[in-house]
Amino acid sequence: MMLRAYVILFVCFLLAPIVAISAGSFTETSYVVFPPQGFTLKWYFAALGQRPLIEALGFSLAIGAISASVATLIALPLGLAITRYRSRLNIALYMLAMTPAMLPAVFLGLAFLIGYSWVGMGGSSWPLVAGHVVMTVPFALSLILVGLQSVDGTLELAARSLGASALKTFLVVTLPLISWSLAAGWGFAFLISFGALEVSLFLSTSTTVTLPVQIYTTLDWSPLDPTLTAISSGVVIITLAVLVITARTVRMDRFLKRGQR
Amino acid sequence: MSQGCLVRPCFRASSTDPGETKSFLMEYLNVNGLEHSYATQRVLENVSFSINAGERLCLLGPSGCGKTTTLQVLAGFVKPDRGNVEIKGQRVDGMPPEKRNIGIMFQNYALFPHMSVFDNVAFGLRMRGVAKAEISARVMEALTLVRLPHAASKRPSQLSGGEQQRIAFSRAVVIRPSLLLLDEPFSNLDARLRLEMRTELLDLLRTLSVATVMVTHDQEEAMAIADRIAVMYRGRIEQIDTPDQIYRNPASLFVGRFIGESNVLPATALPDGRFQVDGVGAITARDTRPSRNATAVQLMIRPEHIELVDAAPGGEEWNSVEGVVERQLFLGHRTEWIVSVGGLKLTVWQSNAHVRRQVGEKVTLRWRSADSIIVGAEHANA
Amino acid sequence: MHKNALTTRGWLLLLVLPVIALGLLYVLPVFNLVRISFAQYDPKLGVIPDYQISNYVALFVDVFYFEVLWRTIRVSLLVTLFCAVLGYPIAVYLIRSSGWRQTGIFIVLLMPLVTSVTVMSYGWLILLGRNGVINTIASGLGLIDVPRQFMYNETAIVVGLVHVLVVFMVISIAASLQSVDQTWVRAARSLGATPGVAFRAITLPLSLPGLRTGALLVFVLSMSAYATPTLLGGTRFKFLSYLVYQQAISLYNWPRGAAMAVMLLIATTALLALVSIYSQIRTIRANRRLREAQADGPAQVGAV
Repeated sequence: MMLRAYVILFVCFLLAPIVAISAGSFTETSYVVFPPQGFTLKWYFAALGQRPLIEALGFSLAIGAISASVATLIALPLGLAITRYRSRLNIALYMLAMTPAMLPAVFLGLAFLIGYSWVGMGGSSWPLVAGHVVMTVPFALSLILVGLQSVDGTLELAARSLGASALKTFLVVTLPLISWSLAAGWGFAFLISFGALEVSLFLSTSTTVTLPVQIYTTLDWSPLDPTLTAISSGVVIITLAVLVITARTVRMDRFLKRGQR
Repeated sequence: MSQGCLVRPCFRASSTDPGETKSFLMEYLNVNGLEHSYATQRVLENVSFSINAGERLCLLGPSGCGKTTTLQVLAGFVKPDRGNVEIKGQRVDGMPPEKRNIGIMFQNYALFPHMSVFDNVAFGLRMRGVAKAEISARVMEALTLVRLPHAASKRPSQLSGGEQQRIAFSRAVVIRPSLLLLDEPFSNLDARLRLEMRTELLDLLRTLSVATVMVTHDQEEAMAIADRIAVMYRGRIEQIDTPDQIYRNPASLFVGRFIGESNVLPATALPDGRFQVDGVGAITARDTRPSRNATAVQLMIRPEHIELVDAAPGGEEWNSVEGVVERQLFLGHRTEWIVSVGGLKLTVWQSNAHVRRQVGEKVTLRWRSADSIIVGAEHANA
Repeated sequence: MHKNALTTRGWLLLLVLPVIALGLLYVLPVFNLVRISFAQYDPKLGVIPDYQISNYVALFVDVFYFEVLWRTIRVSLLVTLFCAVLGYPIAVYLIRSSGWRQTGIFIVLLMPLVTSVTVMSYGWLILLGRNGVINTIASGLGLIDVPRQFMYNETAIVVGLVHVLVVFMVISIAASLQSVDQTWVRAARSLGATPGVAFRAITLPLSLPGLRTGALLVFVLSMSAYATPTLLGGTRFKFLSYLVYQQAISLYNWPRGAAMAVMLLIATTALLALVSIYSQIRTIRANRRLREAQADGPAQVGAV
């Protein structure tokens, strides 16, 4: 029916730039053209040879993993505190953790730049990690909260009544039941960090360049270099892989099917 | 208080219009040979019945028997694989739900949460393009009928469960439907409210005199409200009859067990017209089977028809057996005994609360022969 | 039986790490930023702790700034509108599908957001540029004679932002469509409403909260956008956030940049506040009318 046709059209719209990039990376011409002419993998090899790009890729992956891990380590105790204890302070705590996602990215970026420079960390990559952690905590927290709230509270009460301490209960009962949301929270935090531009732009130095920043600056002076499309396709593949894995852990229909008749 | 024809359709037996009197007698709703399956599951199998104008039919049965599906077919939400539906002689199964002029009361009432009670009840009238002034009058009359005129400007969420049910009812009847469908109208109410609302609903249905099909799994409700009951099981109708007939002359073992309680004893037909129950003796019983070929039969006696007596009565009018009390349960309004007779156990109910027996005591049971029935099969139309 | 699963001690213990981390890494820098926005800047000396409101005043008299502000607001409103109109049917379809199809659509919606924005903008560059796909197809079909410029203008920005932000709209709408009970729709049908009328009378009104949330979210995110407008808009069509970058990074004027960043935040949240105040006023008025109607309603209509 018509709705289906529209959805298919819209999906094409959503995927168009991705398809353009991926396809363009195979062109034999020395400038990007779509549809691509010919088929070659030489640009991928060229990309592997470009040190700035590869270093930036490795750096982004590392920053992403570290930020996601720290963000999860912050979000988990926070989530537990909010869901397992009644206090009016909880709303403030929730806002504290979630507002970074609501503020303009440049606002955050500049705040971090000024703030961290003054503490004297200007040259290293720690400001970058710190900034990414703050940015990704909201995403990790929202998924962890969903997980915590989906656990039946009586399960924990039963464990306690049978003699388990609070810590034991958490490790043996709660943790296994929320592990999917921890993984999903980590995955989402990683993706946000991996793709983030603005905050990284403000915090990058010559030695600490993330991949988005590298691509951004390259786009300025040689936009039609197919090497760029190759590396961009790499980004797309990594993103898609992490996204699909995360989606499987979350079992997305959990969000949307609850209560549907 | 005038209850003119604003809400109720105006057909009564005393109408002077010969055309209307005729339609009163003609079959009003005709359901023929409905068949339907979901995936590989047979849900309806050869479901057919008719009701007259103003008659109340109840579809009764356990979950999965197909009663709700039948209702959905009547409403137009499900298109059956086979079969058709006629209302007043006109085929409706091709029509979409909005054209059928059927009033439906849903199990969860389905009141529109974002509209006031007035707008809810007026909805059907607005769909029909009724003039504003008439809408106002008819809605208020419908609300008055269910005794909730002051609820007009409230939201459904501000009403109690019983009030919501009455509003849902008034919304369904204000449009003067040709047919009224009720889907388990009392299942969302607590026990006491259920009893109150049942009487109220019955009064309303009698006043309005509109053809009604009601679905329920509660046999007491069905017996109280319906003119006729259709007992369903696994997509088939086992029996359609008045409540009285269904109770006294169940067409199958299933009906006998589903309505009220029954003792069921295996028996063999004897040449003299009586029936032999092993370990018990020869019993005189009423044979209600359509065909008397089978000699292995089932004998049914309801617990409330059996009495504990001191001496065995004589005559063909009574059956009596000897047994031993196994268990006694005092339930307040009645006492229930389990009495073992031969190798069988009979449940006996008696409402003389002060009668007491000892476990292990020898007793005599008696019941009227007419109260024991021979039933042929587990299910009718098997 | 404890009312809470945690003791107060346990609760506080859990909060130590997160609160200190967020406090130091987030709250402190933010307050510091606001403080800096009142400071002065000298090219030779750097930031001077002479606190005045001069940076803000300078913005109010800056015509160029208002031009950019107006453009940001205007484009954001357009983006919000498109997201609402284009995204609603997707939300409907999303609710109706299940299993892998639903997950698949979800993933496709998320890809533009989650894949680096630079990659996305690059893709649009390839598609919309002078040598890009759209031009190639259009001139191939004979629709245009000269390759037209679809890039580096507001159209490209709108396309790019809708592409990235529509997922927020779809999810918001889907969440509130979720709460529409299908028996209400069936009840409306049984009372004479065609599927179209039932949708307009029942489903649509009940999905408005989701629409509202989605619109606010998309608007806020669009107002704050940096990469997409910068990469797709070219030098002539900058957004507010670019001005912040320009001041702080290119011109090293942290105080001025900070003031702009704060103004950006205010401009964004101001509209949010206005909308929520407006809807609160409406709710208060509606409730008052409801109470008045209840008081004298039945008296007029001949109750028994």
